[in-house]
Amino acid sequence: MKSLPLAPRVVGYLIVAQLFAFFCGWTISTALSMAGIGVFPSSWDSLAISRAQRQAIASLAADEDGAVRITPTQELLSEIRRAPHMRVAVFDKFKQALPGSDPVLVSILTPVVGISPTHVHFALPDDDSFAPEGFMAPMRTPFGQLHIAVHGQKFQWNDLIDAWAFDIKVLAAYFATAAVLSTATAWFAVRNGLLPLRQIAREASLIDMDTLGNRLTLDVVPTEAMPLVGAINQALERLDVGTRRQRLFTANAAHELRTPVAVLAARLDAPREPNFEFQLRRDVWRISHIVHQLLAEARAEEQTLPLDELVDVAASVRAMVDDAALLAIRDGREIEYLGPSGAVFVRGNKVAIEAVVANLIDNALRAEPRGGSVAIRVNENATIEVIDHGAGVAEDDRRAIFEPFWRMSEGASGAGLGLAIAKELVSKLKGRIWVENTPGGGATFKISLPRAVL
Amino acid sequence: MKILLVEDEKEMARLVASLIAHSGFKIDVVTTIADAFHAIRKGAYDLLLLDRRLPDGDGASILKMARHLHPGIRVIMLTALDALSDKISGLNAGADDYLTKPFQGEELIARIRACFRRPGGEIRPPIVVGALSYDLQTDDVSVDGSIIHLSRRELMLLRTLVQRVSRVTSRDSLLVEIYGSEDDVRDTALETIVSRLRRRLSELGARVEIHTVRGRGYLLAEKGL
Repeated sequence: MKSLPLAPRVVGYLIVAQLFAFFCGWTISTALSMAGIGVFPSSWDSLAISRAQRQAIASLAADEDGAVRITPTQELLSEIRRAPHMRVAVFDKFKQALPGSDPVLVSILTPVVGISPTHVHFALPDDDSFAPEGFMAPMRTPFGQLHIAVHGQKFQWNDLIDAWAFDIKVLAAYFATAAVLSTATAWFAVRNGLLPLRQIAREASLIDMDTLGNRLTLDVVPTEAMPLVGAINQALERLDVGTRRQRLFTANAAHELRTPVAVLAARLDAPREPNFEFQLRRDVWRISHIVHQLLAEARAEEQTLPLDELVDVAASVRAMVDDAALLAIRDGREIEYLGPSGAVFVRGNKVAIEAVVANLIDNALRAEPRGGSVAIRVNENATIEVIDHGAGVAEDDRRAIFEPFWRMSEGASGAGLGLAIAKELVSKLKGRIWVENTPGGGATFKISLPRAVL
Repeated sequence: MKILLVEDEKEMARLVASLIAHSGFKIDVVTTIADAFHAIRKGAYDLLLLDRRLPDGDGASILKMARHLHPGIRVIMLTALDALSDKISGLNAGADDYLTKPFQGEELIARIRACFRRPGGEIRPPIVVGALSYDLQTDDVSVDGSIIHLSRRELMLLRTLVQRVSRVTSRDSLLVEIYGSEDDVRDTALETIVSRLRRRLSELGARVEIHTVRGRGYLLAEKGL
């Protein structure tokens, strides 16, 4: 739908409303007059006055020697046939009745005309004088200003329009003024009222990806526009949160990958170590674990990863252990599975769980001293433990290692990679991840997942 | 024993093809679905290695057509990292197995062998690990080209392990392979055979090792890579 500018629309509505108000007001006051409640009692027949006057004026004619007289036109004659009691009288500027005037009116009005009234409502002696139906007023005629008196005229429906048009003519100045003023007022009110929206528009035009934290100023806008501006602010808020989360994710991803890539690059530059090829392979595997986990997290974030699948974590962990076994052996470590050979079911997502577990195993193999053994345990209560015997995680760092951008102190390099994302993923799976000490030294990472109720 | 690799990344295709050829399989490489259709119509392949994302569509679309022409054909999907759920849809589409990129070369070869091991697989080349060679057709085992003799259970153990070379074979499946479904076999019995086989292979200089993965089973791999 094409939208019209607001100001002209308001002006249009106002003018229509005023016409309607006049019509209603006129109708009500006329009705009240007729009911005798108004200031001037009135009657239906009094509405015919102005037509009767016109007919009287039309009937004025001058004879050869310039004397003006009433010579009823066909129209007046037929009107008189319709209203047999109709009387017409016209007085010249010398207050003399013109020939053809009704003698009864002449005799009654001659003394009144003497005082040149602007108008007079009158009743004949036999009339019900409550609402006088006689009317006399000076009027412009082709023969100058003459007093025209009518009486006994009879209402017909088109008199309503006549009467209405007459009153409009009388009130034209008021009308014009009201229309002009309300147009100006409406224009001003709309323009002025919407002015703050221009400021909002300016503010909105300045918002881009770098300034998503900005909000539109709510208290300058009219109350009516507040829901809109408020809703836009809320949308901005959601965008802001989402964008911040995404930026954090990107930064995290870059951060998580920078270290292993740097290690890989350093390895290529350093003098060849005897197990060079294997080390390269291990570096690549570590990177791919992190990428796997990042992608699972990204998918969970955009909600394309179903998070309520039935997953046999025992089977998943066994597969993870199997996958890591060769790598561990080649690296001079051992890997061990401690858990049931049967199933342990949880609600979650296989890909996400495996990504996290693979990452934990990778970290553990890295922390484990040469010749040691990393153990992965699955408990019947759906907790998974990844146990190493390395340097462990200091008490103070146990929370921090799951924060984005956390770097463990030198010497324990490598541990902690991907843990922020692991935590995000696990919390999406409605689980918990934390770290404890391995009895005798080392770190034990634990994940608890929601058990599936079968 | 012919394999068709459908992979559009040239460097990847070249490296994977060289790896597979090195393991004794014949391999052809195509880079598009259209070329794959053409190749499958022309030549009889035993195994398809399908990349999902190809310039002219989803590699899975080749699968149906290939199965139609050669009902016994094996298919392994190679899925990209960013297509985690492709694993599932790959299997749903009828692939025998899937492998997520990047994969370890040893893993790929193991999967290819595993694929042929399933019913319907065609004649396979002997599996070579270190100096050891195992012919699955004849159960002939040789070290550096000379045939060696093993006890029946040692042979079955080696056969099972060698088919999953570089990967863990679970103790449960070893027990089933060697002892059938007897439940009263003690774990120590299996350990005894494993120790014996280890000693034999070591004495013969087979350059392979059988590693214990506690809680899981055993893993046979080339020595000291």
